[in-house]
Amino acid sequence: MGADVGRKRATARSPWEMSARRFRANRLALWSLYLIAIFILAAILAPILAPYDPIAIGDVMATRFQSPSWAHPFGTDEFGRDLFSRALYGARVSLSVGILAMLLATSIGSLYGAVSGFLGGIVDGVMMRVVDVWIAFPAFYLMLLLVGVFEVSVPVLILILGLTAWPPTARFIRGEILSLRERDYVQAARAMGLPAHRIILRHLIPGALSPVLVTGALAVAGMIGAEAGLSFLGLGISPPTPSWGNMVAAGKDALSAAWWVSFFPGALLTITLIAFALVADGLRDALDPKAADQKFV
Amino acid sequence: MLLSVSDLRTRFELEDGELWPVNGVSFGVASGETLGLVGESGSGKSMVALSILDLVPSPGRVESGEVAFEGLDLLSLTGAAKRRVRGGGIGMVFQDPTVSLNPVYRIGDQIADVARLHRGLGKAAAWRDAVRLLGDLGIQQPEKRARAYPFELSGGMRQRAQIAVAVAGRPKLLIADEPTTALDATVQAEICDLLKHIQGEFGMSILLISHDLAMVTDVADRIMVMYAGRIVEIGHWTAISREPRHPYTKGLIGAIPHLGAGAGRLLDSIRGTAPDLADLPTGCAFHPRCPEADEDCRSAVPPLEDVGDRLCACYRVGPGR
Repeated sequence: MGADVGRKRATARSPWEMSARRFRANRLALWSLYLIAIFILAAILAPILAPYDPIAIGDVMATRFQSPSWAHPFGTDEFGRDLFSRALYGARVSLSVGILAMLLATSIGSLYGAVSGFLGGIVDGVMMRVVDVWIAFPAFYLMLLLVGVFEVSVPVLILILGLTAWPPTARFIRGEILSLRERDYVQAARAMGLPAHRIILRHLIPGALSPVLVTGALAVAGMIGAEAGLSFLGLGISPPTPSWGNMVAAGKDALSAAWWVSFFPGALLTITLIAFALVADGLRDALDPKAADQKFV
Repeated sequence: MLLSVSDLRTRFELEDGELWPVNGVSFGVASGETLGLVGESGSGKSMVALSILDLVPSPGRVESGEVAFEGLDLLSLTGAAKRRVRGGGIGMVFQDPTVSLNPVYRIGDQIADVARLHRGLGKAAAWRDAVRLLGDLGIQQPEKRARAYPFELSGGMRQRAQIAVAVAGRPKLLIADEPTTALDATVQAEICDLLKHIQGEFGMSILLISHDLAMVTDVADRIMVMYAGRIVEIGHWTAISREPRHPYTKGLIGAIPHLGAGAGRLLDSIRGTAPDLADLPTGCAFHPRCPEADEDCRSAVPPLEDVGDRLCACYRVGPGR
């Protein structure tokens, strides 16, 4: 038994490593993560992997609306373009918008929430009322307004989504910080003379990191969905640049004749959103030791 | 005096009134001495420590008084000057190292952080210093333990590690608030020895706070007894143990269990319970529990007066008696 304990201690390392172990034990979340990794890799390697040019239009009448085949796994669209190639390039837009907009929203939200929660008092009150007002205004209409005002490109869309979506994260993180602030180790850090920014960066934000990761993974799904929604409405990324959202939109009029035009980008969207949600779920279980332990009781 | 506290008052404003956990406390800590602060739970002893460092949690605040440390008026310091004193001038050890060490950082990093902040050491030098400090504080294989996370250490080792964090900035004064309460008895004795060792090694002064009179007197030269936000007796332990003067101190000493000579006798206990700080009795706060109380005790608060070899706040002890 003594040897057993020694072996366990030798393998148990940092809290992060133990969380990683718990995450790996969750098959569904792990495979979702692999799938996301494959999608990201495919998006990065799109120029190499894509068999055809995603935008150029050739002999339209000869190549349009071909059903899926070995030559065109996802079929072709109304202009005869290979949908598999377009889906690969569309993944670049959808995934980069989703991930970068999430990073932007989560960074702004975390920092804002951490500062608000740490300072407390009047500053906290004012900062949170700003968030309340922001949240009271429906985010999607704000996005619609902004995409109407600015000329939309991928970077602009990332900015718009990121800058409109941070307030819920800010409110959530503030709540976490309020409870972390009262922890003894934060009091101890104060008693040791650590300046406020060091306490926030070194003790509060890492303490709030697990909920940030979980909400972040969920937020990616939300951002990809928002981009798809805007593009479907013709307000996001506009054709001929492919995004999964505008690809679904492009096929909607021919749905009865050529189902594959909307189906494949729609399926990719669905799979991606579910994968991110499952990863978020797995992260939540892996990062909260109490929740994980309850399964074995 | 390294630290001198005069007429310190800390008030908590609550929805249904106010309370004063520190109500006119004055004392000094000389260089290199250990002063023990003893009192029941709720007597305000932890608040004395937090008031000195200006860390009183909301809705409490230091209302008045003066805390002088090495010629600085601590209560008027702000910003960087205040942070230099915290950890650099005065180190603090908390009761429960399980919660006062950050669970996600290695022990060595938490110690090195303080050394870098207050002594301007570089990263590598601070780490070497942390390892040396851990070894010096009686931790075996300090290099290995420095790389450990708090949960990988035993309670006693964790408390040593926390003490290492507190002394890493080489403060002149170490405030230890119930440093042994969360530990089991054998480890308590080790930590007491460690405090004595630190004092010898670094020439630090220590303000040791505990409800455990026997533990405090094992380490401290002088002791200070606190009751309901006020100091009731201060003096050298040799004098107080020989002849406690304040009835509350007498009660505390009578309640210490003895092995050997005193075994077999019943322990004395102080009748009644500690008073509610929000609803203190008039006059001397101890009078409802005091076997010697009379009319004077009910009508006015006895001042802390010099009664020869110590200070004592009791009408039954005053110089006129």
